[in-house]
This record gives sequence, C-alpha cells and structure tokens, in this order.
Amino acid sequence: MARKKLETLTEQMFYVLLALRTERHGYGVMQYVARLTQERVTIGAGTLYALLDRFEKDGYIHRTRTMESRKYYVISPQGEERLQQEYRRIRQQARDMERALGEEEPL
Amino acid sequence: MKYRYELFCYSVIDLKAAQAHLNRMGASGWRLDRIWLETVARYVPADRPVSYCVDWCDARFDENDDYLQLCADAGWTFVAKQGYWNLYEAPAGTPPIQTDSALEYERFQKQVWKQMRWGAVLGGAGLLFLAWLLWLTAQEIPMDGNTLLLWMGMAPVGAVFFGLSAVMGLVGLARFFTQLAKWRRAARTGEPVPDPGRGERTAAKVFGSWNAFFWVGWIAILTHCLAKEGFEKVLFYAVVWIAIGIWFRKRPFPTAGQRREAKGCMIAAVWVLLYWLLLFPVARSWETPGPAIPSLLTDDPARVAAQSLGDADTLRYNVQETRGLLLHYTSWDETDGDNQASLSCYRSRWEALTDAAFRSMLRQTPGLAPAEEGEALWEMEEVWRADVVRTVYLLRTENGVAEATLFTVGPVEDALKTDVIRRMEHCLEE
Repeated sequence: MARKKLETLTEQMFYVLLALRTERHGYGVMQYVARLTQERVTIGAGTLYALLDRFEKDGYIHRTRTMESRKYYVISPQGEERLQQEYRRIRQQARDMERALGEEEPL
Repeated sequence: MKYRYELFCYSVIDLKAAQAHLNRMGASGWRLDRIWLETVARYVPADRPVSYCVDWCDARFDENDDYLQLCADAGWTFVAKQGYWNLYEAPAGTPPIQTDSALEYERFQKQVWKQMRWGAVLGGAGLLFLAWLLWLTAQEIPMDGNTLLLWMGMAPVGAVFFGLSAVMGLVGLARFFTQLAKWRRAARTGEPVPDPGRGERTAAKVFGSWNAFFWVGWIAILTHCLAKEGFEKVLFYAVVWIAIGIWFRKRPFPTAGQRREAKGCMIAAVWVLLYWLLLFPVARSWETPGPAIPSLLTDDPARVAAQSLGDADTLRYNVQETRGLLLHYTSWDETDGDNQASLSCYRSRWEALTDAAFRSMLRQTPGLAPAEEGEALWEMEEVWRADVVRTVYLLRTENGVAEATLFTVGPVEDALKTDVIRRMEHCLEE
C-alpha cells in the first residue's frame, strides 16, 4: 500500500531508527535488530537500503562516514523525536490494551 | 561438468514466478550458472542448498558498491542481470532481500508501469498501423503494382499478427491486474507476497516465452520485408545491429541503460542471423511462384532477350518482380518488330487477394468491358496516336490476374489476340 510520507512508522522502520541511536552501518543494523528481537523481526538488505535512503532524505538520520564500501549512519535529533513520538504512541496503545483487558476481567 | 539448460523468459509482472522457479531448481540441487541473451539459462549442480531472490534493477541502488556490499554482508551474491531484474543467490534459509511488502508493492507498481509504457507505445503504433490498413481497404483506392503488393502482402500478415498481439495484450493486462491485486493484498496485510502455485508458474513461463518469440517474429517479418532480395542484406542488418551494440558498449563509462541497450542490439543481431540461417530459406520456399513464361509475343524463350537484343528478336525490358508469401507481382515491357506489349501479372495463393488485385486493376484502366470470349476476360481498345492502337486485355483466373497492354499498327489481329490471351493464361497457370 502506498504509504504517505512516514505518517506512521512500520515495525521495521521503528527498529531501524532504534538501531541507529548508535552509529552503525547497514549490516550492523540488520544484526542488531535480529539480536534485539530474537530473530522475530528480520530486515532484508533491499528493504533496509530503501529505508535508509528514505530516512536520510527525510532528515531522520545522517551519514557519518564510509568505510570499505559500508556507509555508517546515526539518528538525527529529528529522527530521535520521531522515534520517541512512536514510542509514546506504542506505550499508550499498550496501556489502552491493558485497561481494556482489565475491564473484561470477571467481577 | 554436468549442465542443464532451459528457456528463461518471463514478462515483467512475473518476478515472483521467476524467483519461485529458481528456488525450486535450487531446492532440487541446481544452481544458476548464467543466462545467455536473456533467454537461455544454464544450471550447474549445487554443492550446497541455495535460494534466490529476484529484485528490480534500480540504478539508485544496484550501481552503488555499498548496496552490493550490504547484500553480500547479508549473504546475497549478485548472479545475473535479466532484463529489468537482478538475480541474487544465497545459502538456503537466508532472509529475503525485500521484507517490506508495502515497499515491494510500491516498487512493483512503479517498475511495471515504467516497462509497460513501451508496450503501450508499440501497441498503440501497431493499432494505428492496423487502422491505416483497414482505412486503405475501405477506400479501395487505385494503387500501382508494388504498393498494392505491399498492402495485400502486409494486410493479412499484419492483421493476423496484430490480432495475436491484441489477444496477447488482453491476456497480459488480465494477468497484470491479477498480480497487482495479489501484491496489494500482501501490502495491506503486511505479509510477504505468496509464492505462485504450479499453474501460475506454468502460465508465467508460457506467457514469457510467447512474449519473447513475439518479438522474434517481429524482427523476422521486418527483416524479411527489408531484405527479401538477398541473404547478404540480412547479413548486413545483423552487422548493423552488432555495430550499434558495440557503439553503446564502447562508450566511455556506459550506464546500466546503455549496457542494456548494447545487449538488446546483440540479441537482435543474433535473432536476425538465426532467421537468416533457419527461417529465411523456409520463407523463400513458401513464396508464391512467378509466371512460367517470359514473353507475351513469342512462345520461344530463346527469342527473348533482356535489355539488349543481341541475337534474339524480342526485347524484354523494365522487368519488375516482387515476391511475397501470399502474392507474386511481375511486370515487363517488350517489343517485337512493330508490336509492343507490356504485362502486369499477379499470382496469389488466396482468391480474396486475387479479387482485390483484379478490382484495383479494373479501376486503374477505365473503359475495360467484359469480352465476348468468356467471363474471365475484359478488354478495351483505343486509338493511341496516328495509326497506333492501344489494346488492353485483363484476364482473371483462380490463381491470379494478368493485364496485357498491346500497341499495334492498326487493330490487333485475331491470331495475335488469341496468342496473347493463351500466353496470359499460361502465365497464370499453376
């Protein structure tokens, strides 16, 4: 589905931004996300490359250096703000879910 | 080394079918070695299980070293370029290159539309050509022999070919929308695009191969039209294609697009050469034969000479001959003493074409009227100048139409008329 300009972050986008809170190259991001999520979330090389390209254009990350044909990126303040905003949204969703589950508890 | 070869032709929409096929080959112990001319794939036995990913060519990505490095780090090695796709190989079980179905759907739409633009342009041009042929048919305008031949030779071939293209286009369009719906569904659910089933894989293979041979057919027909007079011309066109290909290739720092164009030229050259070697002799043997006799004014071929009288009595000049699969056209002028004659003769395999040629010739010579001798003969006589009389005979048989024009001193004698009509009949005999 054609997505509007990062109106919402997909799970993969979220984890890419999260991984780039520390400077990493592409494959480093893939490894980090797989380790963090215990292989639940895997990001393909093509998808990651497209996401990095998109994030860089949107100013969410910036390139720090290139070594042995590997580009390194780190999150920008704007990206950090977007990540935090998403985090608050997810937490709010989790709280709403917990409240809803609580209301369903038999008295 | 053991090899396995197969046709590897897929249309732009069948990316997943191509990928599924390669993965099946990988699972059965064969890895892709190379693809020749974007048509024939060669496989070699795999020493370990492998899987494949077919991804779109995208100059923003695949020409960057860091992208290839990222793929390599993730386990994917570039194997081959196939038209609008890059083919990557990795050990079985490696996570795929594309994992976001929404992004995949976006790219599918963008790339397929981009590729289909050319199909739409060519299809549009083809339809315009067909419309032009139909318009010509409706107009029934008088045409000279060669134009008529071109029209009559091309109209049925063009109609059949464009008819097939239209059917193929409709099937392609239906398959495109089916695929689009499938990719959209995957994007909505966030799931990967499902691998095509056996039926879909077969359909993709048949459709892709048909697509490829459709273009071969086009190149063959065009080559035949352009170079029907001799083998050396076919060779010339092949060399031209190769030269253009080399020019694209040898430019300093060729882009991916120029490399693709170079490859396309080489493919065209190979098809032209294949056509020259295999199909051209067959096409030649199918051509409609021309008239069996060389003269209207004599039965003795030894008395006929072309361009120069020499020892012969009858001069035959301005000889024109155009051969086609469906129609053969010949015309010549000749002189024998005081008599002058010219002949235009169409021989055809189809009666409908003979009818069209007959109607056209009837329109071109006003004044022709049915003769008393028979239903198949029309004639016209007029004073040309001073004592010279121009007489035209138009004879129609199942196999063709012949028109003889005689310039004689005084009206045509009965004996000459009988002889000329007999030779016209002979011209049109099987």
